[in-house]
Amino acid sequence: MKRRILIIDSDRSNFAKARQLLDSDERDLFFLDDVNDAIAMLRSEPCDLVVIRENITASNTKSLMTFRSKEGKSFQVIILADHGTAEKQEEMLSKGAAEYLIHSRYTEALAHSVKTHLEYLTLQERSDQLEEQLAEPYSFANIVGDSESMQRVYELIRKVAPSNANALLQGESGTGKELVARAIHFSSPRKGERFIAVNCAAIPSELMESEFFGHIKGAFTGADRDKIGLFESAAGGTILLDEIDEVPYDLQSKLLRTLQEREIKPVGSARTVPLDIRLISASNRNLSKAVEQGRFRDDLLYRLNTIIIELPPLRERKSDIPLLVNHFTKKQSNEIGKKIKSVSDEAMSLLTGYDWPGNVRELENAIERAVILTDGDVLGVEDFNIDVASGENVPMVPLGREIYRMDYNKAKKTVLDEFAREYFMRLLDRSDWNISKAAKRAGIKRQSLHQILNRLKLNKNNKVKD
Amino acid sequence: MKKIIIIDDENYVNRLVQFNLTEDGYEIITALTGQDGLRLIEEKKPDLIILDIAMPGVDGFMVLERLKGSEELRNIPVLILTAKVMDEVEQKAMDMGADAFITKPFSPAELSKKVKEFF
Repeated sequence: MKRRILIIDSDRSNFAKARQLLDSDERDLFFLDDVNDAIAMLRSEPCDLVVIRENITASNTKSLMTFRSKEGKSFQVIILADHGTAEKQEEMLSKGAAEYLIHSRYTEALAHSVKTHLEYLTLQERSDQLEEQLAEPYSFANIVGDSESMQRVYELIRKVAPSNANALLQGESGTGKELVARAIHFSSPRKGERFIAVNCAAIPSELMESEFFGHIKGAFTGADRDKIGLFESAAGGTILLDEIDEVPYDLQSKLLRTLQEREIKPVGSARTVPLDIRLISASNRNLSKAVEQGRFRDDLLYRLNTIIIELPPLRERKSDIPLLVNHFTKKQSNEIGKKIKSVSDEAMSLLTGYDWPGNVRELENAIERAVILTDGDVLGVEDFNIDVASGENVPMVPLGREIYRMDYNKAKKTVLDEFAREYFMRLLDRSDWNISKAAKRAGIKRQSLHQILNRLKLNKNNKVKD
Repeated sequence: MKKIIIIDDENYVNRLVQFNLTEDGYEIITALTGQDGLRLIEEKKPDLIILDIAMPGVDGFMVLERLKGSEELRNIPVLILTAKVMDEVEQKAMDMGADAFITKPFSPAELSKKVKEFF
């Protein structure tokens, strides 16, 4: 969409120069010589940016800025001030002008300033869009499932969201604990503030206190500057501590104190920082058992479990599988720009019959893989790696928890190798193991394909070379 | 030099169009009411009329009716420039003999292009 720029200058002879300087295919330029006409226009028409040349009394810029603030308009204003002073500049900037160019007319400085502010506007719009996108998928309505057990989950989210109560989410891996935590946050009065999700298992135990509560410079070796912790970063909002049972026992008491006193103490600091935060914790283990085993403090558990939300495993809500399959198929198709019309009845029956030990996450991965690899517009049984006889899903890419415990380069190599293995096995099967044909289809040289097959230890007989 | 009369009760629209089309080499005459517009049309015999629909008093439809009822003026092309975007408004204006339609907020480049099509 073209950017709309209005130029206001009482001297009409400047318009041609302004046009020459600012015109482009991406912009619509409007010229007016009277601020009252400009205000009439801005009252009824959209505008992204106004360039106004200030008159000697500065009355036109004052009228414009007063109109802008009274009517709550968001157009940016750049003021060209032949007779500007630093004081006037300060006054106009405080009234919301984007820029006040002293002793300036239609020069490159203005062209640069217009370009910068339009780029800023584009970034701002993109950021707003992203924020909307971020809020939308986690809004309450976007958790998929209408089974009875999920209805109970929705009911609890609805009840718990408006309050400030701590919530404990319990459920197997992949049941959507983070999604529920986000739904609680984005349905709560804190939705305008930050939501921070922390996987406690991913933080080395010796660094956890400093990650949670921050530290001051010199608190320990390597602490070369003050650092704000995750709790303070989430102030006013919500923090999710996933896999909370991974928090070391001695740190659990500090966590308890933080929740009781509603304040934190950065490592090495004598000062405490008041904290307004909502804590949601999650675990795939039974915390009561962890208490019995002496690994988890009972007083902390009582503080965390004001509300417990149990997330059912997918095998206990199989009636939701078709809904989830359609949801993920649509989502993945949109993401990669493929037009997948539907999932065949046979494939749906296969997916519904499977137990999904990795729960919704495993189902989502299976559909992602099928959408990427399918050649048709209907997902069929052959697009899923579920062995009907053994009921085993053979994942192409190990996107389970272990991948996130590897360092980035190793994880990337593992995923890419698994992808290459699957890709070339399917390609070679379709090409009757004719290497030249397969290489041509893949768009690579025959020798390169040989090298890949050797590296991945793939051959026709046993598919995987020893 | 081709002569264009613009009739719009919003002064800013007249000014915006005036600047843009003057730059394109046309002679622009403006009127803030339908009544003044009709007087100027009879007097100046323009090559094109740019006309708003929603105006107090003599509105755009009335101006169109008078123009098309006059043997002397009925062949002057009329470009409607209005905020009213309802299909029935556009249809009515076209049925009454308007030649083209642009809705506000308009793009100056689009207006220039449209005007050029008449000459």
